[in-house]
Amino acid sequence: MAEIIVWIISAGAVISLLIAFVRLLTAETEVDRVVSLDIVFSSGVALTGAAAVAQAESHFLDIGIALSVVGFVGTTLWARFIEASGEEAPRDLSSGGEADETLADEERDLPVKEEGS
Amino acid sequence: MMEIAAASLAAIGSCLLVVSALGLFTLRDALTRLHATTKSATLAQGFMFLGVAFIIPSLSVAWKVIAILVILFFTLPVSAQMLARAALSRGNYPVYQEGDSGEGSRQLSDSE
Repeated sequence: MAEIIVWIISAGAVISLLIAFVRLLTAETEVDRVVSLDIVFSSGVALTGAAAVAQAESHFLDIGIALSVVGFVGTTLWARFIEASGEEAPRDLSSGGEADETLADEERDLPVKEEGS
Repeated sequence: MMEIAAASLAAIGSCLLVVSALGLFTLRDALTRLHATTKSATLAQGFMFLGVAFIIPSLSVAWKVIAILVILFFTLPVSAQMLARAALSRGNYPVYQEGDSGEGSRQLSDSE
């Protein structure tokens, strides 16, 4: 039964790892790349769980703890880096994007919301 | 009985992980794609590690699984919030489309 669980977890983790790598290579924005990198780290943590079941050892879960902390630090650093290096966009976040002239018209057109519809 | 429960929990977790990886392609803007890594991946890892804790009945595995889940539940919202701020500062505003009533309707316009 343990082999079945190892195969289930490994198959799901490897499939999502491949999908996240494809997304990492073909993403349009930097934030999408960081999000797919976070999925890669989640798949790695899941693979450490599969290794722990396969060997019946609890020491592989220590690697999972360390890997989740490293993923958090990496994501946070990339977020700070992206935020610090992006100065071409307007920084006034309270206007909700109405000052952004580069958006297309059909993206900027908010439909008028009728109350009670 | 515990093995069947562990196998079903692991199956639910791996299916949710694949779904959250597919959500990177199918969701429509950068702020919506953040849901894929915060909510569904956290739920997938929770199910997977509960399955791991069920199949190895020892106390050290249980404590390490609890430690992993607590770390994930505290760190993933923080990193997602910082990523959302970074996305807004780079001009990735949320995209409203036709038929979007603002109450959770998911219709897409013809442009996609």
